[in-house]
Amino acid sequence: MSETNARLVERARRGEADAFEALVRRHLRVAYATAMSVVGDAQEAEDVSQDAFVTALERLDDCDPPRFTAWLLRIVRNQAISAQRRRRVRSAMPLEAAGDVASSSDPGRDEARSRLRGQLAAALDGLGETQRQVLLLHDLEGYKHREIGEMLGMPEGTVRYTLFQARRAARERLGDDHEGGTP
Amino acid sequence: MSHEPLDLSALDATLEGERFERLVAATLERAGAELERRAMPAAWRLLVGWARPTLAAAGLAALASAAVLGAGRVGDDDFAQLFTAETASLPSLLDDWLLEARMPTANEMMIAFSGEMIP
Repeated sequence: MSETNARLVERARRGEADAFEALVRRHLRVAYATAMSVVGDAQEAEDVSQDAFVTALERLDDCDPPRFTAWLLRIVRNQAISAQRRRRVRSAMPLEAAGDVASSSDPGRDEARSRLRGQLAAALDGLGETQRQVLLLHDLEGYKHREIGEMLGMPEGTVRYTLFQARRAARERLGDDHEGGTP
Repeated sequence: MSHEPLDLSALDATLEGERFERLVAATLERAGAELERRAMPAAWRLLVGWARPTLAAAGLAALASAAVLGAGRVGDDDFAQLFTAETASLPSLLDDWLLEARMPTANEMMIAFSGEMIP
């Protein structure tokens, strides 16, 4: 990382657009993945991510700069849960069926993928806040333990242990049919 | 087995290329107003922060004043009458003396206060 999150947060507080843009670019994928794990719909996850960044900017003075990532992801998750509630009220349509955006020409494959997405979302939902964040940052975003430690304000060893626990808990929820590797 | 990465690809959470850039641009656009506000000098930002409630209070005060003035409107004629003897329940002859700015005669005073002339 060229400039630390803490430094970018300090600059963004002063309205420096390039600093805020750097924060957005650095965190957009993980914010989107977090939202996606809750709402299961690509468009909704995009909206939630955008809303979360704008909310984060408005409340930036409340953030402890070195812990920006964890703070942002909490905002994302809360907004995703709110969006999901609103959508459930609007429509009685099942989440998995509603969230089918990346559909292919193979309905059977789409259905299996949709089911798997629902299972993954449920497994992630059952994890603790930190476990979920570490798992998404590492296994989805490809961040290294050290980088995650810097983002979440945790020692590297704690990140490793948390990741181990998170994977084990998620696998238990998913069952033996979803091991590492290709789906 | 918990040392192996979990396959989360089914979340369809990949944001690449054009889609990523589009989302960044949309986010920055929505954040524009807040960034502008934050970029203002502190004193100006404080002023802007105060402007809204202050204007709202001023508007309420103006509405309240308009309502009070509308309910008990005082015109020019009414205003002039405030200074006439009649409104003060004094004899009407006093009007003439006051308006002409002269001293009344003894007879006028007798008529005004007792209704009788001096024989």
